[in-house]
Amino acid sequence: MLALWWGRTKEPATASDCHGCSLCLLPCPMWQQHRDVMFSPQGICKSMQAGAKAEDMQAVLASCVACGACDVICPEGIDITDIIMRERKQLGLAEDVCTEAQGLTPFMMSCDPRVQAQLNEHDMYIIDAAVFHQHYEQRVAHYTSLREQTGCQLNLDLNRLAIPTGIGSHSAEGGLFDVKMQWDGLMQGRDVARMIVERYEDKEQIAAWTSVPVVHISDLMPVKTHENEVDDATS
Amino acid sequence: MHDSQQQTHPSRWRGTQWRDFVQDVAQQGITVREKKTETGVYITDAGGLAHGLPHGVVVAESAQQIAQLMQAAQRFEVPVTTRGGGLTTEGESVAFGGVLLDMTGMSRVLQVDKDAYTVRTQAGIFWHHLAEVLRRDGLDYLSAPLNLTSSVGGTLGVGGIDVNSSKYGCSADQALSLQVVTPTGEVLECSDTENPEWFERVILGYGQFGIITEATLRIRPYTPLRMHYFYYSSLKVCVEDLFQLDQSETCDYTGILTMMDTAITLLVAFDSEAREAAFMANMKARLRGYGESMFALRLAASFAWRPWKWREALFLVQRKRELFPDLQPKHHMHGEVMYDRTAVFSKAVWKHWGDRQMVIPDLASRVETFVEAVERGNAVCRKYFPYYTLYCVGIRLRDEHQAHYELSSIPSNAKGFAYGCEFEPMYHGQTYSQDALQSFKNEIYDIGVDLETSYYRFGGMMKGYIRRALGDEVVEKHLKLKQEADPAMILNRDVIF
Repeated sequence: MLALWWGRTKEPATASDCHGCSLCLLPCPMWQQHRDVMFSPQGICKSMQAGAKAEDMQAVLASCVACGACDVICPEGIDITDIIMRERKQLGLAEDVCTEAQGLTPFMMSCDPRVQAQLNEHDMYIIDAAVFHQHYEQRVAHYTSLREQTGCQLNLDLNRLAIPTGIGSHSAEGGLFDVKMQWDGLMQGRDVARMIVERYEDKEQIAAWTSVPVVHISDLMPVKTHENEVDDATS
Repeated sequence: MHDSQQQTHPSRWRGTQWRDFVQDVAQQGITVREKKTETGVYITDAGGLAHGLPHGVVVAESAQQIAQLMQAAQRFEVPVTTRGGGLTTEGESVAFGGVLLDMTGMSRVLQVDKDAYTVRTQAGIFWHHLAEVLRRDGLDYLSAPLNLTSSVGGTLGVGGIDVNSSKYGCSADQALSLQVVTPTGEVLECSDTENPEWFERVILGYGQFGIITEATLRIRPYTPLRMHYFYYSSLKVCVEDLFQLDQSETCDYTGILTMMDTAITLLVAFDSEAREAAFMANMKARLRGYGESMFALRLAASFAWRPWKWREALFLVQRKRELFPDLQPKHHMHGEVMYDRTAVFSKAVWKHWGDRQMVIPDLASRVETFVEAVERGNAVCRKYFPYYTLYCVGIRLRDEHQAHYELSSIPSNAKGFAYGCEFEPMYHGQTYSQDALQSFKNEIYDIGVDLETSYYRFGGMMKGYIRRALGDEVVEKHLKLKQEADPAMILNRDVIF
């Protein structure tokens, strides 16, 4: 009985569990562009509580870049991205599916001491936000430590959530999310000499906006002469 | 319970001339959202006890847009309720008909002056977003509510307390100047020197005298935090030590956070290693609190021979297990130094104290009556709830702002410092009726009337206490000012008057 009381678990949270704390607005890139609570996870959950169906929220659902920051910060533990993707599916809109590449991932590369040795305070390191948030508990400590050890700047906000670029998302491709505005906000007040990115889509687009070199994290890996050589280094 | 103490929702506005009003503002390019799926987003506030729907929602875009809205609202006598973060608990930001004006639409930082240490910002911004922008330049605001989804404008209207309010004063005292839209739709700038009568009324004015659209605030260099906890088993002793610390000016942050009256924590923190070292050398020995290990031993010993209290002991152990890691998350700590305390505290507040229904009655008192207010409030908490929290901080008062404090959460009889204590039940899965929660609040506020304190959660459903706590004379004076400023009495009606 005591063990049951001690380790009691709650039912998975749903949109009805949102009680409007607004924490999800803080990292939400969609909200930051619109400054309108309707364009936020809270707005979606509260609208659903008021009876909204997917078709009532079409513009909002299509504007989400699926970065997953709201899932991490929600104190109720609502899987908001999942709700948004399910509602999108009902409308026949494309889903943004977050999958981490198999094999040697950018995260694993960032753990490599030889890569870390090349980073410094003049670098801006752009974490893949969706992947980061999906593995938040395991990875936030790593990236915080990476910043401390190398001095590099990161696209983390004060909540230690990653600010996404939005590049390559369905909402950006559909013209519903302004990636340039997002980028300008991300870089405001920063002075950097090089960009390191985890996503190839980011590399291509950011290179068109900046005069500083933009490299993919894999470009910092030592030349791969033998499969096991890299694996050994990252294990 | 005496009949006059029962608090209720305000009546819903009937909607007379609503359609004419909507047509009028639409012709001026103002969009009013009327679908239930849009108005329903604002159905309640953080308290979750007051529920009301506006006839329509307007998202703030500019001072000019709000001025046009207010001019039309005066003509058609349509109530306008302003809302920032919606973190009221007594329905103050819930619209019972009329227009709900969502100020978060105006939430951008306009200018940071790194030399003068000031920032000009739109007032619908959350304190967290202001901190995000300031941090890029190594700067920070002075003090803000622990809950970072409070808006700047809403906070300046009611006070705003932080664990450094004993050093800097309440958040409202950080404002140097404001852009305000008056209830009749004029846009004006006000400060201690420009339109000072407006500045005096709008600051801590509970949204009665104008809508704050922009604010210039004092700011400071950002510093991480060096935090220490001291544990007490007596509220009186802990509060006395808090007074002692605040008077000594040896700490940069002080506050009390409790688990019932069993585990009482005095929080002490510093902006620099030098300040921390000076405190350790000169002040620490004067405190009567214990370190964590010694306190845990004493607590265990006190519970050992009282089996009827073991349920409470288990709660404390479980609470410590869940809460403490979130108060010192590894990714915000560099050794003993905490970065971004406000992000840490804000998340912890919602995760560990947030609930679907929240009542947080409070008492704001002068030094002389504070211990009694806390002890009597604690007894009321004990009577109603098995688990609860008290949160106490000091607020340094500014003599030159005495006029701002009239009819506000700052008690008018306080000199030098005022002290505030919040009494928050923790439901722990148990459901309480609205009547029970209301009775609890009434008993807390009855103490306030008795001790001549003020209180922070001032209006809305608790506005019946304003006259009892602050007297007819001061209320009548402000009512007259309100009637002059807002002839149709439409701006944030039923919050105070």
